[in-house]
Amino acid sequence: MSISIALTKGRLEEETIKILDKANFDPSELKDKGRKLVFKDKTQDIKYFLVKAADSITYVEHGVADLGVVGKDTILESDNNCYEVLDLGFGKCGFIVASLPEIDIFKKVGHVKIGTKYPKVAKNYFKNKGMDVEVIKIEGSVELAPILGLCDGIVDIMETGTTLKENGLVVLDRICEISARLIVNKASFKMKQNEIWEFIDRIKEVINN
Amino acid sequence: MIGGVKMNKKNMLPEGTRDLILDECVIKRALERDIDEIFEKWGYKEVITPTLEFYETFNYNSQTLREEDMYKFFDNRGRILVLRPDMTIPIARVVETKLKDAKFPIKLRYTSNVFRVHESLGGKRNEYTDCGVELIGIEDKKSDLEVLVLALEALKKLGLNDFKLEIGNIGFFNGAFKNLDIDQECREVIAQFIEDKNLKSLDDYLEELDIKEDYKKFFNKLPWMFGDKKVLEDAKKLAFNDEIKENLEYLEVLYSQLEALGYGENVTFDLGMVPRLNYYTGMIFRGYGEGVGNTLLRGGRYDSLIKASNAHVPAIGFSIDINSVIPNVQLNKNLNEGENVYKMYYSEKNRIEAIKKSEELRSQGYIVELLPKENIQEIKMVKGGER
Repeated sequence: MSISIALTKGRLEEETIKILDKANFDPSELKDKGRKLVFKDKTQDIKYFLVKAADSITYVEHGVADLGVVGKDTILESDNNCYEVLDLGFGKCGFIVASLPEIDIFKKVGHVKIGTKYPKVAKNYFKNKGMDVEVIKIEGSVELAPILGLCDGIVDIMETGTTLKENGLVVLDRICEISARLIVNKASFKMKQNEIWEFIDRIKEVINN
Repeated sequence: MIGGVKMNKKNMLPEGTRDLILDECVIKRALERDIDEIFEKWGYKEVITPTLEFYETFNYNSQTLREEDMYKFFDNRGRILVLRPDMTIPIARVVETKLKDAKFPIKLRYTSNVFRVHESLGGKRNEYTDCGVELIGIEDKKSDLEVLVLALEALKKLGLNDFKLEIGNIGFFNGAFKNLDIDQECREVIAQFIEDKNLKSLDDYLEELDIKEDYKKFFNKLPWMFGDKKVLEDAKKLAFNDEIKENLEYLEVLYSQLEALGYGENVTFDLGMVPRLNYYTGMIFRGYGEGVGNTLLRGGRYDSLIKASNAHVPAIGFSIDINSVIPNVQLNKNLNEGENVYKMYYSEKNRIEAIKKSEELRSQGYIVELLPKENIQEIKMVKGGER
């Protein structure tokens, strides 16, 4: 039976292709992609397609794609119902809480506002801390929000920390680590068990070496 | 304004709902009928319960669903009502009240719409039809097999190319905690990671816990323990207490019985199945079909949900989500445009005659649609459903 895989465009794309290559799949069409969106593996019965991170989860959840490669950040922010079977070990970064050095949001008395691209992650984190905060959704350049006074602190992903430092923000806490994950549709895993097992085993071998 | 046409609420549907029209309806009704007929032939009696229930009924004692997953509103006295999110709880309520003096076992069936609030724009249905059965009043060894066979028969009837019934046992997971001093919260976290086959998080979480390596190894292996009957053999090697062993042996017995009945090909196992609906107490199972992206059938044993004369009543049941199969069923055209479908055209002067004649044909089993037409002298009959 043929399997289809939804890969995340952009940041994770290159590393995903490298792993597929090493595991003896044939992602050559993906390397030279032009404007195509669907790519065939010439050596086996696999279809790849490139989509945005959050869409990868949606495709897998509906079973349109059997497997997906997507960052843990996107998984945490979604309300999905897929198996998350492998940590692919690349695309590493972390969720952090940061603010301007003069405001410690954990000690502030009164109303606390948090700006973030990841409202679900932010809400969950503060809920577990027993803090009642207001979360404001921001689409990009989250670092700007506390500087301009829109909010007291931010929840964001941090790779190196350079952007934060340049904008004078300090990390108050590390929420969790993030990396690329392999997700599987629940029904597909049961109906196409052999094909999916084989795919996972080959990928596993590459990342364990 | 969209494209110059003003859309108002009058013409729109709430999120997650949809209209079923023409062929979709024909397919849905046929599926419902076929499955209902199987249940009826096995002696299950139909129940119809209200679409509305008190929120208390679903919240009491079994936090099976999150508050925000239910449609809620108030009655005129300010009490909270819900659109029923599942049928097992209403049936438990019926058994505890209306059927409390009935003789066990009680076998019930239903075809009912249930409602769940899903995240918006996810493409999921918020209203769907469940066809299901509940077998109440006899313990596992005397009733599990019957219900599994019914589930397999119902899946077969859907006419999919291939289908699988996957069996697990919550006792397998719960049994592992028997001698473990772990609080409920940790247990739920572990359950969730296993259910989602989230290996990385499970491993990290177990690492932090103060439990023996044996247990860690066992929990880490659980998510991978699914597949054909061979997994039962593999699992036996890891079983570290009698309860786990007994649960495995029971699954083996069930498998050999199902195999003897000719269902061997369609039965698989997943020992890492730990459903969120926390009323399950023993065997649990799920059905999957080729080309269907979600779980088609869910069921299991729930021995502590129903109470009668102060004692728990053993019970088991399952339901099939009819809506998710509809796109995969090819409409058998004969259902719609059989030999016996006619259109009858008439003019004003022979209207009475046309009605009489059509009634006569209907009583002989024909489907006759009446259509007025100007400028025709005689009544005209045309075969078939198309105009």
